[in-house]
Amino acid sequence: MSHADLVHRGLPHGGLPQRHDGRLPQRHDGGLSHGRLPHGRLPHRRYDGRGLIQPRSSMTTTQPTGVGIGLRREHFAAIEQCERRVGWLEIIPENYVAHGGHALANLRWCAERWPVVAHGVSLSVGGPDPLDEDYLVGLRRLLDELRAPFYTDHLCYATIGGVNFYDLLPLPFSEEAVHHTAARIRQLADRLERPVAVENISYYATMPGGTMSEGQFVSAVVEEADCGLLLDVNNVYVNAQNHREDPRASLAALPLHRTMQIHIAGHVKEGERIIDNHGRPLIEPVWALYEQALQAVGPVPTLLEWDTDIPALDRVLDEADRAQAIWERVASSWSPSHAPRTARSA
Amino acid sequence: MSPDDHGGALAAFFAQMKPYLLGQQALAPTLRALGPPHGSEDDFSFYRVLAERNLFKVMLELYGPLRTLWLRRQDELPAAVGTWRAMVDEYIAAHPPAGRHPNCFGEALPEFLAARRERIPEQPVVYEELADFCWIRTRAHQAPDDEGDGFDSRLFVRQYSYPIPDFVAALGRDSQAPVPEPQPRVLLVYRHWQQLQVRLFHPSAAGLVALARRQGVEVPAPLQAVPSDHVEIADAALVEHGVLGPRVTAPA
Repeated sequence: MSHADLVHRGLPHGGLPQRHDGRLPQRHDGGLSHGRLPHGRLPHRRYDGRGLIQPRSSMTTTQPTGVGIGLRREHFAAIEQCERRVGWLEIIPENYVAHGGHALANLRWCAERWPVVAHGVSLSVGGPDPLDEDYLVGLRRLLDELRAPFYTDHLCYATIGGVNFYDLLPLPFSEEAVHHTAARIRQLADRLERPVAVENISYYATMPGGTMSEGQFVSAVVEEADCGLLLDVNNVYVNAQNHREDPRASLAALPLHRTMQIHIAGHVKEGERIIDNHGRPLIEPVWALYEQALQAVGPVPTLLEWDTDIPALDRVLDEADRAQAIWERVASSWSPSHAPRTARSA
Repeated sequence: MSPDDHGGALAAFFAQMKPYLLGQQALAPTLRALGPPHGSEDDFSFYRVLAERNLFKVMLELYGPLRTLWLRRQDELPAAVGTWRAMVDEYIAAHPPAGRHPNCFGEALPEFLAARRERIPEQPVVYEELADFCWIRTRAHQAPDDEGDGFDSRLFVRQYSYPIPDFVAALGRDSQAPVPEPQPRVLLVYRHWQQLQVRLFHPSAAGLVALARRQGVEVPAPLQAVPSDHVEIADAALVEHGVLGPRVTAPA
């Protein structure tokens, strides 16, 4: 998945009234007290059986639960009219920080109705360039306004010496990269004053200089950074196929006990390679892997991604409904003692 | 850490990957410096493909109408004008992708094309005008909300030699739409100050004076004779159409 697939380059849509209720930003709005947890560490919560889709008021939590979808400009008009269940929304914050106009107005409208979390694509947490402090100020302001409980980005680099490749590029799986990246994730969490989780990316080549497996690398980074894992199940499958590994073993090798959120998506075959393009329905093996992941980590919020060849909102919600059914089935019977040993003891 | 640092293997990795991904360094010297990849060279070099693919995708999405016209005419125009691909490659070399948002990569294209036409007079003027319109339309759409009148952010004053907005619309309906006859006109491309829609407006001479006064720039000599009551009416019309916000008067 590349940044180029995720950003707004669109042109005018019908106007939405600008709505902003003037609420003061609140870091933590009751419920879970992240302040007493390490960076990015969220407790498992059992499914409480309540409806998932209630529009929130100023007193309710912004915590996402169940299955959500990405907020994409192609759906701005449809989501205003949508009467189906939309659990929560995930945005690409780069499309809103220092931007205005219709997209920001639509986001504010949505944020009054659903929990919204932000999933960045450009921070280059593993990269060599200093974190962009000006951008982080704007990002934190946006997260505060959304009352986003945490922030997620990718375990990768994207920028070198000011040149941005607009992609999620893999690091060498080395000790040096672990220390470098973990320190920057801690710095990021400090700047944003909220937990951070990093996503296991899809990678098509193992970079020279590595000394460990992907699972060892991701585990080492999140443990040293004391942050969360955004577990991308499709990436696990794509990587396993491309590198001729067993996806279930690849899943188990990740630090599942750190999982704060799950991503699921479709992919496409290009020659001998599987590309993580978020442009297709999930295939059955990925659905099965998703259920296995949920059984391991418990009912953490899950995001159905569809970012290229985006169909009508109803089609995306059909796919989200299928994920929601799996999520509810697992959540109804899950307890930490049910989690596989790899998930509890990693 | 700087990619040019010599302090560690990771810095050396970045120092090699930057020119490689930009297409400035071949695979062989890159792998000689980094060591062999754990998988195939084909897998490693796929990242070069992805990096290039991303940049062309950004150009497609930002400058779709220009690309449509360029591809259609690249075989009929003099060879010096070049193909779309050659032009984008030149642009990447001159303006390596920078900026957090991919749109930033396309920002310099209108100026790049204008400068290119100085070197290659066969390159049609309509190309750079299309590029400019595509760019400012995007800028107006995404500009921050709190920038006052928003000149050169939410509101752009342009004089094109072709009816560019009509041509863009025509290309959207039919990729074979003919290039229109030149028809110089001044137009405003702006996001309505309240309704968040990008619109066009053709100002009168009085309207141009009203805009100049709002922006605090000197009114050109040929326009200084416009009666002030006409300017006031034009200012009100600009507010009514959402080009400008209401004038803020200082409290007494």
